[in-house]
Amino acid sequence: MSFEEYAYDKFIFKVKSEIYYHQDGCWVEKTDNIATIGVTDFFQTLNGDIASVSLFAVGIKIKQGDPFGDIETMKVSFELTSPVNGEIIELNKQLDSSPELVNLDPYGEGWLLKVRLYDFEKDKVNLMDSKDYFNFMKLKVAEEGEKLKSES
Amino acid sequence: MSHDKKVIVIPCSGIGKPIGTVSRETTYEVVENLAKGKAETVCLALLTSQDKETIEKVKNNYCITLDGCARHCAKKNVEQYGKVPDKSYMILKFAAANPEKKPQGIIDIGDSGKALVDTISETIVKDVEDLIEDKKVKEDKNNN
Amino acid sequence: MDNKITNKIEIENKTKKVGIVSCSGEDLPEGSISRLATLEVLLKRKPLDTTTICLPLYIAGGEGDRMFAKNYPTITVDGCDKLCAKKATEKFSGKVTHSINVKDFIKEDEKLTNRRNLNDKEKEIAGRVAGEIEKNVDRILKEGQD
Repeated sequence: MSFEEYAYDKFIFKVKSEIYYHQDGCWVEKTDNIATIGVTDFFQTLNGDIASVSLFAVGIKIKQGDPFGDIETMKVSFELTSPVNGEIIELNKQLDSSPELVNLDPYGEGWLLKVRLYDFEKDKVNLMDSKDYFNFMKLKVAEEGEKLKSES
Repeated sequence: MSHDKKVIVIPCSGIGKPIGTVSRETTYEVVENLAKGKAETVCLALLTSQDKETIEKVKNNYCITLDGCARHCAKKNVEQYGKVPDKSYMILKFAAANPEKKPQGIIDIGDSGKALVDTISETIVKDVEDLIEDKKVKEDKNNN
Repeated sequence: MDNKITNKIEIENKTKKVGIVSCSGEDLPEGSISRLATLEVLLKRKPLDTTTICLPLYIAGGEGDRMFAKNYPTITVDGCDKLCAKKATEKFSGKVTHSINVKDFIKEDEKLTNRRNLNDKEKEIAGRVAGEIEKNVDRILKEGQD
């Protein structure tokens, strides 16, 4: 595994190389016809400590851009947006008792679920590679900083 | 000669999050009220600056750590500078199990945060009793 | 798991900030005063000019906090002469820009009693400490601009 890091204020955001990213906060790692999906380091940092993760069940067909579950943190509750089209084949059961894994290791043990893909080439049109995501993330980080200033 | 051990309760007191304040408030509720005389606290920062007296206190008594989040700063620091705690807790787990008791702010955790403190304190006080009781049980066996 | 960092970029934050490190010592009322004064500045008086450095995380190895304290000015706020926050910051990140000791705000004959639910006197002391932190945040930022 290799990463790039982006340091801003006291935060260090990691971006994993050689995977894909959706603008709404999820990453996708494809192996054969199976996608492993999780949330990005930036996403988990922004939203805070995760109290619980609730995902659609195995067998459910999910669509790119549509919800596939939700996360409750100490700050907010929010829907998770699917980065791909496919059928859920496995959920990360560790998250039932240890949802904090999403905060501690968002690209590793904090993975959310696995999906059997329908057509990843089609999905890729709406995804970013790690380099593009890195630049996208920098803009989002700057936005949050500006947002903070305007809330004074 | 028997020595009555106490329970040292050490919170993370994380300053960046309401659950850090909850860890601190819970500690005070236990050591100043519910388990007064049986439990105490020490400055975590003093332990990590390797103050001899604080290290001895932690090593020679039972120890419970209360961390706000999964970074486990209190537990890690106590393990590094003192000893492995007898019990370790994460406030986030209690908060997840009691969603109606979410702490409101870092300075003022609000009524719902205080309700969370009360809930967690019950568990910690039971641990204090159990730890001290074990010690007493062990001593009685030795004296027979 | 073998994690390899391939590229590290640090951004120069256009808005300069000061890191505040509080001892938050649990055993003394002065520790609670240091914490309250620090939070007053972080959350109310100077929310855009300051960043909190969580001391236990910092000591446990918080990468971001240590990096911040190396690259930005810091003010430490300690409750007593043991100066735990100052010493820890010096140990892991180098020179502290300004150090405050709550003890200096308490008269010799003044006895503080509350580690929680601070009384009016204790809150007043916290207010004065917050004022000192704020004054030094302004001074440090101004010097940084000169």
